[in-house]
Amino acid sequence: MNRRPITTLLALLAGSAMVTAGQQPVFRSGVALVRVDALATDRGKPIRDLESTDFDLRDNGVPQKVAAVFAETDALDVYLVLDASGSVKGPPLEHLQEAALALLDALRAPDRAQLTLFHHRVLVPARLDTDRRAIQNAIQRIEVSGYTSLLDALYLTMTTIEATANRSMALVFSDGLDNRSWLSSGQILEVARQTETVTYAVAFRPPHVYRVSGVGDRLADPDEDLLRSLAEQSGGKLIWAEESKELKAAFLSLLAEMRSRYLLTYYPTGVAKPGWHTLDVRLRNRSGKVVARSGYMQRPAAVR
Amino acid sequence: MTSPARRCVRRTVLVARGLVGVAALIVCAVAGLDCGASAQEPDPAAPQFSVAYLAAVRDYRAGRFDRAMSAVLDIDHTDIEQTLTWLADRYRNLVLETIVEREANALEVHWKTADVKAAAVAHVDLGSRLTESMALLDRHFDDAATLLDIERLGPRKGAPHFLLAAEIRQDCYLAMVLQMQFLGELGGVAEWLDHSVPRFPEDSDLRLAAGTLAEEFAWEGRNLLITPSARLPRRLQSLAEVPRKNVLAEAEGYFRRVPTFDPASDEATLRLGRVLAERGRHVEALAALAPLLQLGPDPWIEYLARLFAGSVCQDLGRHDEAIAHYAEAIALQPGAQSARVALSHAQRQAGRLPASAESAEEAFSIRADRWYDPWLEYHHGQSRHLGDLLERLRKEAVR
Repeated sequence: MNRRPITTLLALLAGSAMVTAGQQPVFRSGVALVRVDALATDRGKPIRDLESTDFDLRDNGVPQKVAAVFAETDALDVYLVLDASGSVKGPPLEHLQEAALALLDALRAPDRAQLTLFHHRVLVPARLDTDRRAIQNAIQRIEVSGYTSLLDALYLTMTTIEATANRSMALVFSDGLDNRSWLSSGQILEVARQTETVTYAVAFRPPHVYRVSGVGDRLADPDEDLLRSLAEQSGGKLIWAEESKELKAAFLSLLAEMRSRYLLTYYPTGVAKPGWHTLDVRLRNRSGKVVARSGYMQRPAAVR
Repeated sequence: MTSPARRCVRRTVLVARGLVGVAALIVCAVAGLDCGASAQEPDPAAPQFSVAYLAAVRDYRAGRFDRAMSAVLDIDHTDIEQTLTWLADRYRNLVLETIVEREANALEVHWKTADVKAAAVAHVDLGSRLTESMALLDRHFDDAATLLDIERLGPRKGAPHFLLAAEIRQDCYLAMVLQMQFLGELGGVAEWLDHSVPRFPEDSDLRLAAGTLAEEFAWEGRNLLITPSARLPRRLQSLAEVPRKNVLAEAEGYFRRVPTFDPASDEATLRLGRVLAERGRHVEALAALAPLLQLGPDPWIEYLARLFAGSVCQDLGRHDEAIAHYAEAIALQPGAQSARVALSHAQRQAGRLPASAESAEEAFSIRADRWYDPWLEYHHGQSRHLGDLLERLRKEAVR
């Protein structure tokens, strides 16, 4: 079992390629270090004893030499993106607060957390911090109302995610379709696939009320296609909660899964062109499967 | 009427009738005064079930809006229905000239035109305040429609006392449509448009609302839960049966025709621009929006015109123009989040990542007391005018 801290690994990786908290990755010969958060499972159970040589990673089809570390003890940046629209009112809100607070309790000292809330506007009542008090207070004071701007909330969160040595996860909760964002789901998926943050989505189906006219006065279920695509292209997953009281278990299971992942790092060789790079990660010489982000965007140096 | 309170009112009415009723009626009828200026004062010749209701209506007519609406809420709704049926029957008989002169006079004494108008406005006003109960809201809007539609029975020559001005009826129907827009109830919007557009086919406000319904359905219709067996309002049913492109085409048709009736309708032009963009007709969309970019007096329209023009420019790959439009929009409405999101996204598309992140941070940091976003109001049609419209109607009711 490999549990070396990430900073140790990165220092070992290659002389000048050092990533420290609060900084963009440093380039070596104009090529940036690529980090890929990967989950390896066998019959649904995480595999915890893999070595670098067990991973077969291909960047645009070209095999790469990767360093892998089981990231269970690495510091995490957790971005909670929670639905605070009117439909969450009542027991779902209480269960959501309970779930979010339980997740905070399960974090470790170096982990950081941020809270983004969305209804008809997007708010960040607690910025990314290791101090839990502000975010705990903000969670306890959540007031729900209005419509749903999920897409704008995701966009703003992803655009402002800090590039640090910490691994990052976005945990998104929603109980309804977006109906007030400026941006479209296609635009969000495009932006999301350019981040290295693992996105986990928890969706909840509220009980619906129909009017006599036949038109519902509640919005329909969350957009499953969007949430699934968003999660899966980042290497995360979507969980449906049939009842709001399942939220706590869902949140905690996703955090546990995030801690059961490997961080794969490599300097791309033979594929150093700007643009979209498709990633394919598999296990070598053993059974099991790997989920990881579907690719990454390498921008021209001048743009960076 | 079954409650003790109602029985008490009845007893009061009976006692009062014996003492002062006839005299008061004669004096009031001759002098044209409000016979039932308060709910406590009985009107002896009016049907029993209408006494309290009529008093409440006259309270409303006297400008005591809150007290009147509170009284209407306290009245057993069966009494209101009976009163409205009585009223419609008498008017129908009047039209058919089967009513005897004495009854005609009694009708005029108890239900003046001003009362019918005040009652209709009161129900619209009340319905617009009942946002927590759709069933109650529907009931009062139905009552208002019953009163407004009494006119449809057709006026008899020489019986002008029930004629409500067309403007009042149009405005009442429009207020009901706007309230449904405010609540985001597309079904309710469709229902009242089905009811009112055939009555006022050339009303530009109703046409604008009809186009807005189609536009919103094209965008948000997928969000609605429509039960398979439900009987939908005709207008909504027709939208639900066709592909999105046809819904947008219907919206475009309405928005193009609105200026025929109201050449100054900038909102119709604004919505036309957006629908054209949604239909992929970018050049036409920019041409439609162009005159709205220099309006000055209406920052609501100009903000949205900038937003839509910026979006079209992004689609065309003209990022610098898009960024300029969004920057103008932010200058117009500094408290709006939508333009900051749009600006950040356009900067990102242009490859300006630090600027994009900075704009996103600014979107987060809008102070709550400065927050105002026309983009959210855009989804609620013309309901931002509802307050002014109701105020105008109240003034008409007391006139």
